Amino acid sequence: MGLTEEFKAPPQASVEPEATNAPTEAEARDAMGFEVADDSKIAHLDFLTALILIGVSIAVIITSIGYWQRQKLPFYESAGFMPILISGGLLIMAVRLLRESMKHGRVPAFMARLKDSAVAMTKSSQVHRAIVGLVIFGFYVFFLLGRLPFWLGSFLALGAVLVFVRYDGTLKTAIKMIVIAALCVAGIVSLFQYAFTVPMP
Amino acid sequence: MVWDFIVQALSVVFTPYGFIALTLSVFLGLIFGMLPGLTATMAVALLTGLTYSFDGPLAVMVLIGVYIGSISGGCQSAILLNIPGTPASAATAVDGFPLARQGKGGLAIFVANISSFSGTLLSVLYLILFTPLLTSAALKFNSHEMFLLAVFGIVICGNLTSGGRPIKGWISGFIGLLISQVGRDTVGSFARFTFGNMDLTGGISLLPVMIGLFGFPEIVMSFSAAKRELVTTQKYSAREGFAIYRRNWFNVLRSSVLGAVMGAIPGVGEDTGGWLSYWAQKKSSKNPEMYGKGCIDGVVSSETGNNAAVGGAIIPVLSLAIPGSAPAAVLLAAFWMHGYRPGPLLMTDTPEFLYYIVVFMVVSSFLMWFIASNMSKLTVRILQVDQRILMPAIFVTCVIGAFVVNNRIFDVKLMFIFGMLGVALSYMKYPSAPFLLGVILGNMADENLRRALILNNGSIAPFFTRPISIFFIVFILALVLPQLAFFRKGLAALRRAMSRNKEGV
Repeated sequence: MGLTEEFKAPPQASVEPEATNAPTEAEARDAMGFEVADDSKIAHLDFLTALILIGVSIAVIITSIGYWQRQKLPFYESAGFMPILISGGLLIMAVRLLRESMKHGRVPAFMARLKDSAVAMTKSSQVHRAIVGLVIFGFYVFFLLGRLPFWLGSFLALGAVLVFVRYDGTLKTAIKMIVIAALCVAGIVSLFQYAFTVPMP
Repeated sequence: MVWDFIVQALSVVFTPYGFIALTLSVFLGLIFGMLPGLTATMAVALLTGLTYSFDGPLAVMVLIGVYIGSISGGCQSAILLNIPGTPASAATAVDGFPLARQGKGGLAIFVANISSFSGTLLSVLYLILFTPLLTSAALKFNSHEMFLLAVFGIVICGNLTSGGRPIKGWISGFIGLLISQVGRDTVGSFARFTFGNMDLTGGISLLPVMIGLFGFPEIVMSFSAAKRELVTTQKYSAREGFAIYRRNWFNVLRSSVLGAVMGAIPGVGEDTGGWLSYWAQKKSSKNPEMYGKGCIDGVVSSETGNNAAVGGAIIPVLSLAIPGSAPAAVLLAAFWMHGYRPGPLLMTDTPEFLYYIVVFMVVSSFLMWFIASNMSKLTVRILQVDQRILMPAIFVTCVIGAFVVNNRIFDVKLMFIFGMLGVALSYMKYPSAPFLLGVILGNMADENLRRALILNNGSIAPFFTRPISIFFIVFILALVLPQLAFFRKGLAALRRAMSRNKEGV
């Protein structure tokens, strides 16, 4: 039984496009059912990840050596021992990932692909939606929570996200989404705070 | 003695409050399971927060109910929408959706429900048989073996969940290990990577990491989700459903074994259980070309396999305190939160806990079958809920779930940060399961390795002289070496030399 043996997920390839919710491209999967990614398509991302991981690993190794020196214990007893082992392993794997990615292209080509991906992302309406949604939720988590009462902060964030995600230019939809947000927050707070006596943020 | 434990567990279930709580949790699990984007992990993680104020046994029962319900519920949307409600039901969609398009969606769901039910029950049998065995074996483990067990868990999980690129799975696992090193170390209480932040001194809580990693990417994806089309179902004969099930008895048995084994492998879990069972059934079939076009045997195998993985995933949780799957990892965190200490000493310290789990699983699976078989009209309504409205609302519950463990806004911020990391991992095709396993096993690996070295004055010789250690080292090498180019080249050269020798003879 080969773990990497590929098979295609048939229905996603065989059903007519108009009646399905499936992706248009058939996904290749291994025998374990995990999607097999095309290495060449994501080589530039692997290249970028490898560089980040190499930087992080080196930083962790240096910090951990500092712990060892501060503790003045045998190396294997020090708090820095395990982080050094882990980041050492991570460094080796990152270098290997870098080498594997370099088989699919050279640095200038990767830089160009990364730039193209970034440009494509800035033009994608789906990415815009995701980013704005994330910014609203980020503002909610980092600024509203703890400063406003939970119900108010949640209502503002949820209302903003729902109006943004479903907005079709009509006031009716916007009001509908605000009402849905109010009902959702009321339901969640009632269930958690009153029915299950869970403390709220 | 055993009967006493079973009666105690039944007395938790069959109180009015207990039974209503279990029924509601199974029902909630089914809804979570059938709604695309709401995974079993998310369901158990959110309910862990909700059951924070419950008594230990009641909380465990509710979480088991949600776990079983959510893994089973995924088949409904897989069959009717061609979108698996949970990743565990992805293999069900392969044949389930074509069946629904032929008007046999009702029959497929009926058969899927019986398969899920029997998969869970068979896995409970394996749980009873193997947990005490594994627990008594684990008592022979010392620090060397516990460290190697943690490494083995990361390596095998990375291998099996990375879609043919184990290095990505291992990197994900090692990042998780690194995250687990934040906070005071367990040997000398030295603060590591806290950067002066008092909130980080206690380490990173598991629940915010889990909610962020597994819930957040789905919420982000829902911002651009399209409206779903639903296939309507026609009436079917239950007799026909039972006949299909009887015809598939061997398929059920094999899928339950494969599912339970996949469940028991650290971090692998239900998704793989479903796929591997489906793959095995297709390979052994006389008509493999029928699969993918609406072969109901495929639905039987995948649903039996993914549900059998539930029991399988709980075996290492109880015996080694190592989760077999992502939802089982949350379950383990919930056990810890409620004061239970699963692991090698389970059968000595709290033997009743195993029987509690067994009884809760059996009753939950009966309830799951009953509820799932009687909610077809409701299913259609639930599946029509707009994901773009539901998922942002779920985010608010995620916030509460992350907050409730330590009552800190800091944990909510952590949840958000790990959520962003989860989105990045998903985009760059890194599996999240090894990451989570790394966070869980990191401290165990650190503590045991350093203890082993301290006890032996820094000598690593015992790793190579203790039989169980050698066993683990061989397994780890068997997983790692085939991924290395020089080893593959050496092996190929050896094979060529051997074949030349044979020809020479």
